[in-house]
Amino acid sequence: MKLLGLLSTFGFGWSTASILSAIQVAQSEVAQGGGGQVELSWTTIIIGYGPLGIFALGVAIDKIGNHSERNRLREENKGQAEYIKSLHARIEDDIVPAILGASASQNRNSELLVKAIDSIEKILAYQERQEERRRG
Amino acid sequence: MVSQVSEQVTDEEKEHIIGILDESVQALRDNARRNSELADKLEQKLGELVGV
Repeated sequence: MKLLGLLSTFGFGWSTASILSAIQVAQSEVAQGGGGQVELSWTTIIIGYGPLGIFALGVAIDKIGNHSERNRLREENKGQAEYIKSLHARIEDDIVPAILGASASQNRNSELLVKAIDSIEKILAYQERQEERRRG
Repeated sequence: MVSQVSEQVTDEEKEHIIGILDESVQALRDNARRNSELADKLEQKLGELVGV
């Protein structure tokens, strides 16, 4: 693309110089009382402006490509953001309450286990006191 | 620029969600460990009670 750019710049300069030169020749012919016709070679114009056109077309295609790639990425990000949002909502609405419920149940089980242990310790202490009383 | 901002927001959302789940899982693990220790103690006391 860089080479094409250099080529087109060169061609553009050459063609412009040819056109200016032809205009100057025509002007001097007019000054001398002549017809003053501008003669330009089509080959010069095509060689000069053809690569510029191709270069411009290449740049335009590149820009369009970049634009559609940006759009695609934007859509992809939008889709991802929506997915994350729905995931977030599901976690807050379903998963977190379920975890909190499980945690509350575990805490209740802890309380029951502690009560059961306390009760057994009381029974053991009672049995020990009874044993001591029996001994005398 | 727009896509970078969207990516950052998405990453922040992900981090937030992972943070919530990490905390919840850690709380459940801690409770389960405590209950397991209490169950061991209860088993020991029951053994003492029945004379094993």
